[in-house]
Amino acid sequence: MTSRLPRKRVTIIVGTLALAAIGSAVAVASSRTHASGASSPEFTVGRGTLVSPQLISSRAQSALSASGATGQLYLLGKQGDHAYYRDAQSDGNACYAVGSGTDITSVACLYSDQEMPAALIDMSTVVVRRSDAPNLHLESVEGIAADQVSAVGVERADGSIVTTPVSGNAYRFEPGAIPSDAVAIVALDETGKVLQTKEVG
Amino acid sequence: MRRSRRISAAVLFAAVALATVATTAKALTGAYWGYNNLSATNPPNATCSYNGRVWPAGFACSGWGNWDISWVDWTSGSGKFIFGFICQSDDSLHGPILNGAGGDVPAFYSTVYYADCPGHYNHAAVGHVGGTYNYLQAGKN
Repeated sequence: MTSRLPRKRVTIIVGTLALAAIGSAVAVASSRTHASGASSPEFTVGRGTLVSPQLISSRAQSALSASGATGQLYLLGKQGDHAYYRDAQSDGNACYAVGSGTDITSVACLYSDQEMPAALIDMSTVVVRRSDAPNLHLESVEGIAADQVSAVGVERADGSIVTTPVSGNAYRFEPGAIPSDAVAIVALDETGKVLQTKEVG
Repeated sequence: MRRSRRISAAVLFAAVALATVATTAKALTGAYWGYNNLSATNPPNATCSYNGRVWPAGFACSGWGNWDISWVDWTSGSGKFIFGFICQSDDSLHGPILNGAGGDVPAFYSTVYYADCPGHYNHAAVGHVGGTYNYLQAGKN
């Protein structure tokens, strides 16, 4: 028997952005974005560079539209052949997205009115095999990191952490570098302090 | 004459407001489960089943299709869940993992089918993988 619990209402939806890979180097002219309100936000994120929506496939455009994003795309950074974007929904809230070539692979549109309400907008993926569900296996580690995050790590079962640096508000582990005994993804500042922990094991 | 002008203005305002609401809403079509509490026991065992294969309790899925997009609209909860696509090729659910209690922000998420799931014929699916529950809706396009 299930019961319907009160829904936590969060006021604003934010949109982000995804875009196809661009061959030439793109200089990211960032201006830091801030949440509205009297106090400074704990986490901020770069504005990124406006890119043409014509660089993404029609399927990608459909994914952005279905998620509530406007398709006005800002490239935050690149990691290998993946690109990381933000967009603005029509009501001003942010979405973040991961792109591969001309496709978008994941979109997250925020209900928060803050541009970056957490240290990470994590887009990591796992696989659950029907034969041993609900056990999961980490397949990719990537996403958007706030300006305050210096590195993202994967914590292993023994407590050790394998890290990768953040570049242009983006992080990504090479597939072969993801530990098989991962239990958490952590965001670290420049002193090594853990800003956020996400259990994945 | 003056009265009909006031009525016409009111109708115009309502039409504009409605259009505004429509354009700001995301296209949440294709829901196959929820809004409901996704947990270790809900939905029940075999809710997601196909070709004689059964997923345990806590997993829901759409029918087979050439789905491009799998999405979830998360509302509340502190459990861990995965959503995405069950690939015909490997009988496994691939997609992002989200943790309601672990710092993942309240959000609407979608993920797009891509080449890591060979063969475009798939199920969109969502599954509970740890913790307590998450109150959400899942769908596909």
